[in-house]
Amino acid sequence: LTSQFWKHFKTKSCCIALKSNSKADVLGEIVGNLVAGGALPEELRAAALEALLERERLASTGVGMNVAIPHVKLAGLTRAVANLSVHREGVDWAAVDGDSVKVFFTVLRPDQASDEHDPETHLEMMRWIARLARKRDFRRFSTQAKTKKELVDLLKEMSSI
Amino acid sequence: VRTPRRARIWVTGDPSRQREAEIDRSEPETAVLVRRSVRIVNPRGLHARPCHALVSAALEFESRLSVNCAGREVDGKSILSLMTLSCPVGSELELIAEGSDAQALIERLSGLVNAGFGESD
Repeated sequence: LTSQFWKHFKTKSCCIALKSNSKADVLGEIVGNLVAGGALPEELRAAALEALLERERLASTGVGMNVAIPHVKLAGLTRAVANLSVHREGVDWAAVDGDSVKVFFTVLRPDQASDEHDPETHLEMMRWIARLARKRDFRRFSTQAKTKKELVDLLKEMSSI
Repeated sequence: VRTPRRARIWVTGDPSRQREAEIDRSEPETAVLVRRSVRIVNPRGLHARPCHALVSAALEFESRLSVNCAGREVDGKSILSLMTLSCPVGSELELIAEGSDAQALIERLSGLVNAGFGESD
């Protein structure tokens, strides 16, 4: 089941070196990359960013170990969209352990079930992401990736974790 | 030289055993092991935000915390570890705390879980 989850991550929209240095700017940069990479329609850009910012106001998505998992529902999507982005120096994210965040798993999901979106499978993907993020090797390799393709290859390589 | 633990008391959710914990609290150096089962009541289960709430609260205590769900036990002070558990609404969580403030930690977390982490949907 987990072996296909990496396919939700479009290489073109991932990023090996985010440039922004605040929550709002980083999320804006990630959403911009999703749009530019063809993973998210332009007309959903504003709504996606607003939903992500609203989620951060509820509680930080920084889960510790230099990882954040911004994850929201978005009306208008028919299937889940995922993105892996790296910030080389780390951004202050008010994470639960106080450490900066270097690895961002951003996930936008439809607000209802459809042929292309099964909520149960989606939960399984979130658990897969959590298992991946816990791996020291994954965090080390992802923060050292030299190309976007290396990032997605890493997800593929660790797809059965 | 490591000071041996003077007592190691198991406290369950059973109110008749709560006294043991109270007796123990009068001796701060004593490490206590407290276990309690709670049921997840918020409709969306133990997803990312409740995990955050649980860990944020747990980090205020020095006791170690493990969380067991359906036979899988993970570090209760790691959001990523908790997220790997599959705990939908209705599932039972066993909270296992060990340390001088274990009882207070369990009280705090039970309150959070029982209140559905403040979530209604």
